[in-house]
Amino acid sequence: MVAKKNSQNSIKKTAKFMLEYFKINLQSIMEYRISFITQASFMFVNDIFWVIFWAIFFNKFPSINNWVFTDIMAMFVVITCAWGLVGTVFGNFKNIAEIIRDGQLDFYLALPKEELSHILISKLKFDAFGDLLFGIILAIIFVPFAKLPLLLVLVLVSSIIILGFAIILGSLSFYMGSSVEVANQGLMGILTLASYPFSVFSGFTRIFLLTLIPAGFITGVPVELLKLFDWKWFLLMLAFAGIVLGISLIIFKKGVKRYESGNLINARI
Amino acid sequence: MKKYFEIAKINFLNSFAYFGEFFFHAIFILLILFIFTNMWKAVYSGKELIEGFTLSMMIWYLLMAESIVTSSPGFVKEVNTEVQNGEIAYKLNKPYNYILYHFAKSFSRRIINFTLTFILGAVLIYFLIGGFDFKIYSLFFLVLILFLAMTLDFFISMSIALLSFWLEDSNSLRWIYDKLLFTIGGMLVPLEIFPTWLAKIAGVLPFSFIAYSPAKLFVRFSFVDFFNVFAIQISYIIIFGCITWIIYKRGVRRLNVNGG
Repeated sequence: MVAKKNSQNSIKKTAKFMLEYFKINLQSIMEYRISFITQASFMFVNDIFWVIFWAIFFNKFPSINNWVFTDIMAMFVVITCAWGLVGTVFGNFKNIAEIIRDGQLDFYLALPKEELSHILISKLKFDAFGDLLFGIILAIIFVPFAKLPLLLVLVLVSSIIILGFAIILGSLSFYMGSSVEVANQGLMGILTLASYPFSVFSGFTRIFLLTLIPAGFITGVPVELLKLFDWKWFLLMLAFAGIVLGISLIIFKKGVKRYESGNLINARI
Repeated sequence: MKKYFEIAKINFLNSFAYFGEFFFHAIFILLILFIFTNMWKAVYSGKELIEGFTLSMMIWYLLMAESIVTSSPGFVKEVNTEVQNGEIAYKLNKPYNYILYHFAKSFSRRIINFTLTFILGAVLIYFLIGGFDFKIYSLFFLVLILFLAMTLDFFISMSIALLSFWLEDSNSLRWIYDKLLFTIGGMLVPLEIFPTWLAKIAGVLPFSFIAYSPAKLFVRFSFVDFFNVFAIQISYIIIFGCITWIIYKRGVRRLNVNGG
């Protein structure tokens, strides 16, 4: 009972710490506002190009294995919102491998706060705001109002899967020495696979995309659920997100125990 | 001219130290090819030809277009950094032309990028789809067109990079340029898939002479198309070569370097 209460207190403390850190991060935008506006708007324009591409494609071929243009737009809503949300809140999610490899973990270990959450939130990814804004606008245009609550849940679950996957790839640095390239390519790979219609994949590829490289759970399943809700797939997605996050935390925590400091001396300004 | 050849040679040899980087880059392109092969298979189901392209022609087209566009080394960021931190002043004193130095350097890296991506991609496509009726006599003409396409791409990229003299981050503009190559440049799909009005506009813009035209000549070669593409590529290279030179001259004139 006491252990449970302690654990609840610890989660509460971490959540409060993250919220305060996030507020400070938001304030820092004002300091770097030109850079923020540039990066966020360029990501927004980048996303527009993809919409133009798919508009051209579906103008010529109205359906690909039962996916129509609005399904692709729903897919873009999910991926830009989920990727944008992870980047906005956990801006360092792509840099875990580099932080471990370069010995920068020492800084986080020396502080009394929980190290993983501290690493993740200690950077703000400006371009992620562009993604998030783009996703929200696209959702308003293409997703029926009645489905917005479901969309919100699906985006949150997709975000958890992206975050868990990023932590797993980044934490491999504890075991491989450096997983920077693997993490970069893995994250680019999952983002790419999640940005194309899931309906074109079949057989073994489909199984692969629902397990090892879970791009199917990030956009494919959410789009299918938005088209036609199915409790079985919804619960499966929730369970998968929980498993990925759980595995990622275990791999990271075990990795920290193996970690040897590089005695790096640097200044954080 | 000899010194630029030597710069290219040194960078070519140096590049082998980063073979892993090239390899990961090629693997990523294979992933894209795999996705598009699946997508086009779904689109082609029951159809033999779409706008004059068979399924295998479409996938080989994609391989060529992707190999050209994605083989470009990220020298825009490098030039951007050199201008921002003043390192360019150090390079201006060297006994070479700054633009030609970057041309030689980036081209050597590009050749490795292109070759590796193309070979790995060709193996994958041959395994997934099979070959196509490639005209072996077109090889020499294609190499020429590829060289011109990459040269044109270099001058457009360099003119963007040199805008760093005025802009804080010209790399973002390169980002937009990349997306133009992907879409109206015809890297992702040939212009025949576009609505007629858009295909007409995209067909005269320089972007399509970097991706679309060389890739189309690769899968469907004709001497008439070759001479057309050759002439327009040369014209665009002259135009963008001049633009690059003007930007460079004006940029250097306003260069202020703090000692240190």
